[in-house]
Amino acid sequence: MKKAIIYCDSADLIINIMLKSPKKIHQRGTDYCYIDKDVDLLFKIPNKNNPLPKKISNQLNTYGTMDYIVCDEHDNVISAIEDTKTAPVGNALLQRMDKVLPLFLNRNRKFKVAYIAPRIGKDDSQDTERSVCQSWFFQKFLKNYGKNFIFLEKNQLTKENICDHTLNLIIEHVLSNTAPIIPQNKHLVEALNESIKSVRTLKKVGTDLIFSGKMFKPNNSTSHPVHSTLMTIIMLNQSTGLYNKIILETSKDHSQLLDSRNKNNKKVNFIKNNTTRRVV
Amino acid sequence: MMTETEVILKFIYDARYFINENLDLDKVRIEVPCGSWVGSKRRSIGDIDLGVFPPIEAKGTFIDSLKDFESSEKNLQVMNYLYATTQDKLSKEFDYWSNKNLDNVIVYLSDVNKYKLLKHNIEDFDFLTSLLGGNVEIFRK
Repeated sequence: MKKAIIYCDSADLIINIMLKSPKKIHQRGTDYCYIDKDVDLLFKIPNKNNPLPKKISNQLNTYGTMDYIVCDEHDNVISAIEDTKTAPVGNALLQRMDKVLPLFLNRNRKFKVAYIAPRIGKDDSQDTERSVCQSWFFQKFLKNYGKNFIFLEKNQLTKENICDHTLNLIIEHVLSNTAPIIPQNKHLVEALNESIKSVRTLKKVGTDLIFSGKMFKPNNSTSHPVHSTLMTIIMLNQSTGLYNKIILETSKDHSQLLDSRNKNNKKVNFIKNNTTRRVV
Repeated sequence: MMTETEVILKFIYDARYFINENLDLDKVRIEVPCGSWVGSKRRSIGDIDLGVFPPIEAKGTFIDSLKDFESSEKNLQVMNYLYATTQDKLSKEFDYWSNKNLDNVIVYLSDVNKYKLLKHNIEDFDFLTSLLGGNVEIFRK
């Protein structure tokens, strides 16, 4: 039987196991473990008094905490998994990549990365049902990595819910000895080139890319889809080195807003540190 | 001291067989604040909604429950509270809840692994007893 520790940023999976498989879950101190024929999974929820061990956080360089960090008994990360019950359609897809993509693109990564969600969902901005597959980022990049970016069909979510699939994935990761999948350069280049065609606020000028999307809404609140899109483009370019620099073309007001945002905001800092500002 | 997350998980763990065997899981809604979760609640009342029983608001401690109860801004419809405490504090906490307009105040005694009702609605007692596998008693001073 293989043992693993799952550090959880969400209690949904533990609750799901308690309610659907009550015989397989056991209390161990303030933690809970799931024991089945092949695995003994200890679920822990880090908090202020019991934070995520430093050894683990040092292995994860991301812009948010993944929902499930699967580790061996010595706190070596086996996999990092993010799940969501809502299909990331429309603008939501790149926003959901904020946590996952920095990990997935890291070529020195020693562990698996997975994102799991429904394929079809309602796009609130258009009040229609859409598929994740309609996104340029799925078509040019994510579809190449079906073991990492798992989008479930409606019929896969009738008897089982997302948490059931996440548990199966955790068990698969704990039991398998396969090496983590690292993205191929050709797919990164394809995605970056497609972004220039699909993102209307992005254009290629010589050896640079110019991004002119509005970083803030009229009420000065952060435009998360725009931030996420720019962050994705920066990360793709960092991985490929295709363009010399990314120029952020912005108004004086938005430039000041960007500078005044919380200094602890990792995403804003990443954008500030990896673009050249041009006030227009 | 237990956190709100620990209290909810312990309660659901203790109720898991009853819920699994008797309730429609599609109607069970449980909201657990944990990890880096900082968002607001999706629902206006109760962390534990079993579908067949009025929602239960869970807190880590008596003080947190008291603050929630006395807040005029939220949870006005909550009639059931759950939190963790210890045997030595029961009497004082019982006095606080005794004249409050609530249906049930369920406390988990972390020092003896038992549940007590500091306030209860007689019509709910059988359900709560079944839910917690018999490990619940009415507190009497």
